[in-house]
Parts: sequence; structure tokens; C-alpha cells
Amino acid sequence: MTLLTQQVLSGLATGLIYGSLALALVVVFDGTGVLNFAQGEMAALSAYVSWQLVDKGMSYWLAFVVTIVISFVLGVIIERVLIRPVEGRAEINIVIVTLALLIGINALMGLIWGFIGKSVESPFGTGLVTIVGANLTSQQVGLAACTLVALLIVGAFFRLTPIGLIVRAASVNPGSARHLGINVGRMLGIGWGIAAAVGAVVGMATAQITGINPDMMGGVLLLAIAGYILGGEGSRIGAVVGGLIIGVLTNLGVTYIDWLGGDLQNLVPFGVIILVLLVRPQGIFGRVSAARP
Amino acid sequence: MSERLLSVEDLSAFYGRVQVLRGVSLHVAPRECVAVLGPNGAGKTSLLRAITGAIKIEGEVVFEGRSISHAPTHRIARLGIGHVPEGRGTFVDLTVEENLRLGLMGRTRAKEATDEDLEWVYATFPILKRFRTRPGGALSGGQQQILALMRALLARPTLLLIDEPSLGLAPLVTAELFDLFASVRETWDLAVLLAEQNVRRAFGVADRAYVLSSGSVASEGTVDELTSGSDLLAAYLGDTETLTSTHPGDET
Amino acid sequence: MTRRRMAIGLLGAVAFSLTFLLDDYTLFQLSRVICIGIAVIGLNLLTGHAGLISAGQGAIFGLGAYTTVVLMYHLDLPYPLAVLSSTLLCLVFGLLLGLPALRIKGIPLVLVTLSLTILFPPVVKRFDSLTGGNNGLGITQPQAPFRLDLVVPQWLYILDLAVLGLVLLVMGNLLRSRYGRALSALRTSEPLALSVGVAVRRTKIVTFGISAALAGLGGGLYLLLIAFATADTFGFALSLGMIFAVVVGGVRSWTGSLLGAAFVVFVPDYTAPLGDRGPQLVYAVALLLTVYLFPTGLAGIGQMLVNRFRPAGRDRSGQGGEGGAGIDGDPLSPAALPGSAEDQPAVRPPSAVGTAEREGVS
Repeated sequence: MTLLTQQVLSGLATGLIYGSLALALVVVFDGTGVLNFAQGEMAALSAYVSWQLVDKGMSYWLAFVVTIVISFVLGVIIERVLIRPVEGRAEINIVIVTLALLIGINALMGLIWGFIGKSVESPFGTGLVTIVGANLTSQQVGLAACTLVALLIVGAFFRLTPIGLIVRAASVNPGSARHLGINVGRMLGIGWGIAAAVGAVVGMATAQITGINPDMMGGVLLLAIAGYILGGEGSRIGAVVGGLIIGVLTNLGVTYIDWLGGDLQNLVPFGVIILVLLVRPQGIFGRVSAARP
Repeated sequence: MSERLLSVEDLSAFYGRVQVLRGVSLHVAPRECVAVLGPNGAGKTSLLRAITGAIKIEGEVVFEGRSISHAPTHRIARLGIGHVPEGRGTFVDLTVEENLRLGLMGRTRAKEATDEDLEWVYATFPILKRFRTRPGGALSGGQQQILALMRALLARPTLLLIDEPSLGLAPLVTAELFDLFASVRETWDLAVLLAEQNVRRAFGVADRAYVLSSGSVASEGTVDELTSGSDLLAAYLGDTETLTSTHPGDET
Repeated sequence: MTRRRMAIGLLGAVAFSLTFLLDDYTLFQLSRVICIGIAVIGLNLLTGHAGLISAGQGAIFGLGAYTTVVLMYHLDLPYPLAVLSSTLLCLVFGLLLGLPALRIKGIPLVLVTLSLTILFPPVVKRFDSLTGGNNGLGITQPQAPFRLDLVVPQWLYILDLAVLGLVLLVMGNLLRSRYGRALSALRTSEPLALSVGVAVRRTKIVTFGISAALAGLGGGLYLLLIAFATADTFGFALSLGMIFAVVVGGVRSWTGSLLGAAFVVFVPDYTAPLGDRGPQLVYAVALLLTVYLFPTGLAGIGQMLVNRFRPAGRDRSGQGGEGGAGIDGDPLSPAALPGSAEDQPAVRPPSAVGTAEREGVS
């Protein structure tokens, strides 16, 4: 029984990470209507930036904050320079752009920092924490707490602040938003910035778990997409819940199903994706909406 | 010639290669209510969209002396032109109150009256108050129409463009709405440009009207001028006796 | 038309003569281009013509390759039959894939096909008694028939060239047929196509089938070339490469598909100084350039150059496919080039459909 609790809790902890990246995907999808395949690589880039800052002598937490700010700016710039020009065009254009960003950023990271993994010291120490009879490393707990705080801040931004409302409006119905004087382009840029900032937290958290290398986020992105689809297109809460479920499912699957090891563990996220899309495309929380306006 | 709030000169617009507006000229004076009439496809919606910058145009659109022919939509909105498009444009995932607040946020004048105006809207349409924390999408079509109109109104525009407001609304409600516009016209300094298919309803509230046909202005004038005009025009406009009646009757 | 036929004939003759002019390795590379090119043509049909984005062409290519190798290895089937069987199997697979794909379009479709692609290598490796698992499976390459004095690379090159010629012929006729017009209408606007009586569902399913069949064909031929199938060859990178080839080569242009395939095959050889991921960087830049600056891709650039030297002519050196209209499919985009009358879509949509604002049209 303790093994089960253990796996569920640690699954929830990693699930928070997938859920956060999934949230970033939703924030971007809301405005631009497309899945940003490069969200993972942007997160990895943030991890490298934070590593670089620490390497140059900055303290971990200061680097953490600075990286978030830099990532936000990067997100805004990417939206303005790369995404805005193709926003009104056929969907395939943005898909291609995000795919190009994915492989381009990945290659750049390899070029600049090489392919040998880098590690960052854990700011949470190496102790163990016992919750409900299960043992979790202080690192797991620390990361989960960080991610949770980030999620709460983003949630509060969207629900409680006026500008959050404006960004939501711009994402949900850009036409009407313009008629109310909202500069939709600028708001979408802010959306991308927020997504990139959330991604930065995810990247730095993942870096703690897997070390930093150019391919670190591939698997995480996959699981985040699964969580995003499961949660339902366009639902922020859904993304987080979906991520948590995927985290737990993956952990349990790998633990209890023998042949689900190695390469085949991708079956869990993909299985979920295919199942959801075929059976209930709008996921758990999504709305069965007509074409967006 | 009274001062002009909005002046449209020789406006032409294209969707790709199809020309939807041909050399349209019109004007709206402050606090005036002007109707744009015409059957489906005549270009009424295109005209409104052209004014608020949603499509590319040739010609000139001047508002309060400033040219807005090539300005982006949100900038035009900030200058004081509101637009309630066909299809309502409700923010379906946002609550009713959030919808209305977005309207308030778009204000460029009378900012001190925001709370007061919101309460006034709730008092006038209790249904909105009852649904204030529910998502906009939970309202019926007609209720969303009212929501959209109130939202636009709450931005206190100087000129409000409305596209087919009576669509989807019961005649009584439409009349109520139009009475509302009439009542705030002076106090809120509001001019209205109204695109309508239903001639009688439009005549009930408008001072002047333009009749569009295939993208150009076929006729224009005050309500009296139009209804006592040529037989052909009167035939198009329908039975002139019931036209000038302000009591909502049965649907034609 | 005759001038065009002559140009194509000349091109074919030149290509054929290369058999005797080039060394084995170059022939091998060119053959690779052709095999992958055939699959890319299939993807081009699906994505460029029907607007259905698939990230799974590489996996189906792999399915074709593995089917061929398995049939030849375990059942001693002669290679023409094996390749044909692969084509048929993949055709059926594509038709079956088309069914659920009817309900999901756009990003969800990308994700589902992506799933298939990433799951393909590990699943194949699991059935190791059949597929040789991690070690893969090998066959001896086919010799030239009728005791012709050709070495294997030469024979395979000729074979691939012949098959390519056949494919292009069939595709050209296909696009001019009723199916082709249905495809055009579908791409322009699905609701519009439905309203004029186009059998949208059937067209989509058929397109999936044909696209998969071409991937299977290309994969089978490819297997003959490399003689050895390993699962990891047919993974995500290959599918991505094929999408890349379609886009950068030029959507809806068969020449473009071949150019794109050539790009994918030859770029790694020339980007050594940029390091391990050099090709990736090149692909990324090329993709972005295509989207922003050259929506008609390499084929479009080529067409523009040709038009410079032949401003008055209506000839096109390309081998079929609609005059480039860019990735958008908007026939009125600036990149649109004149095409022959039979290539125009049967349904002429109001231009609003291509450029309509999101708020609808009065």
C-alpha cells in the first residue's frame, strides 16, 4: 500500500510539472489558436539561461527570478516577430513555425552549450520528507511547491487582475475585444510572455530532476500535451488537472505494468491522446465549441 | 450644415476581388440616429465593418475631424466609436459581469460614473444582474444581444454602430431597447448608426436613413422624405402608413 | 502542351542517362531521393492538396519497408511482389486511418499521427521474431533482370526512376480527374464543397489511402536500396523531414516534393562544420524562410526564375500540380502563378473565403 501511495504522490509531484507546461500551452492556444510545439524547447532554453547565470556567479534564487523575466521578454518577442506575421493565415503556417522553432532552438542549444549534460545543485538540499506514510525527497517537495506557487500566481493574474481579464478577452474573442479598444496583438504578446515564464519554471524544475541537456524537454512536452488534451482544449484548470492525472498514470503504469518500460512508456501519453481525441475530443473540462470567432 | 461627427466620403471596399461597397458617402451628426437600410447582401454589414477598420477600403472616413480610414480597429474604438456586430460577439467564457466590465474599461470619458452606470444597466435589465456570475454563454441568444449592446454602451462611445439589433429579439424588447437609446442620447452624448433590415423598426427610432443597394447608396433622406418619396421607393420600403407608426405591431 | 511533353521527355532522358554517367554512390543517393520523394509526394497530396496535416508519413514509410523485408526474408517473395504488397498494405492502412481522421482535423490530427510515428520503432522492435527486433532484418539486393549488364545501384536507380515516372503520370491524371477537382474544392472551403455536392468524406479517405500507398511504395523501394531495415531509421526525424520536404519544396508541386526530398537527403552531407545538429538548424531556418518569404517553396523560386527567361510563355517546367499558390492555398495570394485551365478548381469560391475576416461576411 505504501508503494501505491508513494507512486501516486510522486506522480502528483511530477504531474504538477506536466500540468504547468500544459498550462503554458493553453495560455498560448487561447490567443493564437495553435499548439506551440516549441514550448518545451523554450523551457529548456530557460534552464540553460539559469545555469549560465549561476555559472557566472549569481545565486540560485536570483538567477531563478531573472530567468523568469528574461523568458517572459523572449516569449513576447517571439510572438511579435515570428507568430504575428502568420496569425491570420492557414493553420499549417503556425504549425510549421512552431516546429521550426522546436528544432531550431534545440539545435542552437546544442551548438552553444554542447551536448554533455550540465547539472545544477539542488537549492532544496537532499533530505527526505514523509507525507501520509510515503517518502518524498525534499527536492520533489520543493519543486512541487515552486510549481504550485507559480500556478497560483498565474491563476490569480488571469482571474483577479483587470489586465488578466483583458488578456483573456483578447484570447477568447479578439474581434469583440478590438471593438472595445483592446490592442489584441499586444495582449497576445503578454500571453506568450506568461506562457514562456511558466515554461521557465518548468524548465528549471525539470533541470533539477534530469540535469540540463538539449533534449531534456522532449519527453516532458509529450506528457504535457497529453495532459493538455486530457484536460480539454482551452481550459486552464483542465491543463493542470490533466497533467496531474498523466503524472500519476505514467508512474503507476511504469511501476505495475512490466512491458511498459523503456521506449514503450510513451504508450501512456500517446494512448491517452489517441483515446481522448477519438472518444471525447473536448477532454474533461473543454467546451464543445463551434469554430472560434 | 450641422457639424459632422462622422463623415464617410466615396467609400469603396473589396473582399478579394469582389467589390462590396461602391463609392458610399454618408454622414452622422452628434447625437443623431441614422439608419442604414437595405436587403441582405446590400453591404450594410460591410459598411459598418469598413468604418471600424475591419476591412481595407478606398475613400475617406473622418471622425471628429480626424481621418480614421486606415486606423486599426482598437484605435478607432478608443477614439469613441463603438460597434456591436452581427452575431453579438459575447465573450462566452467570461461571466456576464466580466463582459460588462470590459465595456467599462474601454471608456475614455465619464470614468467617474462607471459604478453608477453598471448599476443602472442591472436595474434596467434584471436578467443580467441575475446572471452576473454566470458565463456569458449561458444566456439565451436574445439576452446575449442585450448584453452585447449594454457592454458597448457602457464604454460611453460618441458614436455607436449597431448591426441588426432586432435580429433574434422579440419586438417588445427591441422597442424597449430603442427607447433606451433615445433616452440616453442627450445625457450620454450618443450618436447611433444603425444597420437594419426591418424598415419599420428603423424608422421608429431614426432621424435619417440611407438606403443601400448592391453596395451603393440608392437613396437618402429624413424618414418623412423617404416615406413620401417616389412610388418605387415607397414600394420597397413597404406600406407607408404602418411605417411611421411607433407602436410595435405584428411582424411583417 | 506538346512543348511541355517535350520538356518532360527530355528531362526523363537526361535522368535515365545519368545511370551510365554517375558513380554508384551518387546513384544510390539519387535513388534515396526518389524513394523518399515518392513518399513526400504522397504527403504533399494529403497536406498540400487536402489540407490534412500528418506527422506520420515516416512511420508508414517504415511500415512499407518492413513489410517488404519481412515478406522477402520470411516468405522468400520476389521483390516486385513484395514491394507491391507493401503498397497495397499501406493503402489499406491509410484508408483505415482515414476513417477516424475524418472527425479530427488540424492539431489533433497532427498529434494522433505523431503518436503513431513515435510509437512505431518501439512497437516494431517488440515483435522481434518477425522483425528482428533491435538487430533489424536484411535481404540480398535484387540483381538486374534479363542479365542486363548493370550493377545493382544502376538497376535500382532505373527501377526507381521508372516507378517515379509512373507515379507522376498517375498523380497528374488524378488531379485532372473529378477526384482532383473535389480535392481542390475541399481545400478551398469544406462547407462550400459540401454545399455543391462534393463527397467530402470519401475524398478525404481516398486521399489518406493514396498518400499511405505512396509511402508504402517508397518505403518498399527504399528497403531494396538499403537492404537492411532497422526500426529507428523510420522514426520521428524521418516524418519531420518529410513534412519539411513538402513545405520547403513547395506545397502542391511534385517537383517541389522531389526538391524537398533532395534537400533532406543531401543537407547532412554539407553541414558538417555546423556540428551534430547542423542539419537541424538548416531545416529550421529553411522552414522559417519558406513560411515568411517563399510560401511557394523551392519549386516556386524555380518557377519564378524560369518565368524570368520566358515571360510570355504558358509553359511550366514543373511536372504537374497546380500553379503555386503558397502554403495558404489562397489562390489570390501574391505568390499565385498562372496555371493551365484544367488545373483551376471546378468550384470558384467567392474570394471572401480565402481572405475573410474571422467575423463573417454580409
